[in-house]
Amino acid sequence: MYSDNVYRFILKNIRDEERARDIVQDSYEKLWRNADNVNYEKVKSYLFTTAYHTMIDVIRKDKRQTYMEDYQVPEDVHDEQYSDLKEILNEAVKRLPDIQRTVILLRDYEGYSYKEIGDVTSLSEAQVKVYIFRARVFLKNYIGKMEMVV
Amino acid sequence: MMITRDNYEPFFLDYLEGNLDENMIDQFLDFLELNPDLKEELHLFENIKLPEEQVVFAGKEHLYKSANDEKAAFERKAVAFIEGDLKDKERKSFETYIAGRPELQTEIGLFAKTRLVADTGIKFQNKQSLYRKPGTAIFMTWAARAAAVIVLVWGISSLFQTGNQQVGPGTVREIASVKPKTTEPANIQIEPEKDNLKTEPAEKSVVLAENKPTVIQERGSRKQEQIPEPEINYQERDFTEMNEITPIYAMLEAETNVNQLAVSRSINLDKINDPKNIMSVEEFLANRVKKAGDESLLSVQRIFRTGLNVASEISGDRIGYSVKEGKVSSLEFDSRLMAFSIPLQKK
Repeated sequence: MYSDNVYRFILKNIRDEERARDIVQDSYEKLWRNADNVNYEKVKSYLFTTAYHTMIDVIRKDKRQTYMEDYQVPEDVHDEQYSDLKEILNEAVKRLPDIQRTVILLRDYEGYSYKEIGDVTSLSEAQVKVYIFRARVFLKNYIGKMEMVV
Repeated sequence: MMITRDNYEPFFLDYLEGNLDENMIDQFLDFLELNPDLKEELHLFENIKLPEEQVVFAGKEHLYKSANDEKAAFERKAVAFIEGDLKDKERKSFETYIAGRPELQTEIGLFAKTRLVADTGIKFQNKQSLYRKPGTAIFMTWAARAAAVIVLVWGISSLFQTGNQQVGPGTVREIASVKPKTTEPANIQIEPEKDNLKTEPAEKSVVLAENKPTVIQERGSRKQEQIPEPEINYQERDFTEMNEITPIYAMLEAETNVNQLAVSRSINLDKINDPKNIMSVEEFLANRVKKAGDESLLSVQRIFRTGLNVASEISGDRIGYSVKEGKVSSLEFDSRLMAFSIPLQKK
């Protein structure tokens, strides 16, 4: 039911189709194992939470996690050609720090509240707000620079 | 208020700081005259004065309201605005604030563009795999995986076993060294057999049956030690091995294989060609009939031997058995590390 949403969310985060599929499948297996303990209303949240934590484990194992908290928009971004805002935005999302990307994807794709995002990511509401704020500012600056170039 | 020795301290302080009421000054001076010790204490107070220090706060410019602060405050408001976190009153106030500022409206426009839209083209393909499976299906899945792993491991191990046997020490060298010596006599010995193949199948079977120990002899000297010198005994011969022998016969017939001839040389040809050891067609058929009479198609011994043959093939000839009087007399196991034989019949 929510497989596309979970798959999209994971794929956007790790950009690896095979691993994303594995994570979705793993999340559903866990859901079925704990089906008796999960309320119907909480199924989506359970899937996202499980998938998110599985993804974190995978990222840690791969040691592919990149800390981009202080990442600045590179000066040479204008070398890349983008046809529309969507592509620019996709590129900007890729450059976001992992946690910022996660929270903003949950916010925009799934329309989750700060609290729900906090539940999924084990963050406080205040932390979620801060990460979303930073992500928005980063994306805005990126788009602004690109539009200036165009 | 009367000044006494109990309440004089506040009056002292007011006097020193010039805050003492004029009406109290006369009374205060009279009190000092009456209490000379306190008058002396007052003079001690007068000497205590802290010097003024020139300590200044550096970086006062940071205390001013900066443009960065304004920008950060605006961004916080802008993000809250597009996230819908502002209350009605705040939202209206913010809208009014940005209404007359086109540059801020541009910023708000950029913030609005940061809203991500899910790509619905990205879908999870194999949704069937996410449905709940019954316990038996899960068990079968895992059983199939386990079976696949076992088959894979066996396949790899048998591959290595086959490779080792082919390049085993002595195998190639032995044949190579024998080859030049064997060509001539082997031809002489084999030729008549080849001529007689069509007419005397029983004789062929004897010759080919005798080839088998020779092949084992090539694989390793240890195996050779375990297998005694072949004694031709029609009663003990197991004709179920005919299928294994047939390919060698075909090779002999196809060409004068030098290797085959070299191998043949190591056989005691005199013993093979001894008329006493050669079974005629009639004898062979009679033997078969006798065996068939003794054993039914589904006899225990036959099934047992068939099973052992299968096990022998799977294990790469590591498991073998000996037959005596039509019954399996012992089981043999021969690996690289150890070899043993288990007798099944009492001597």
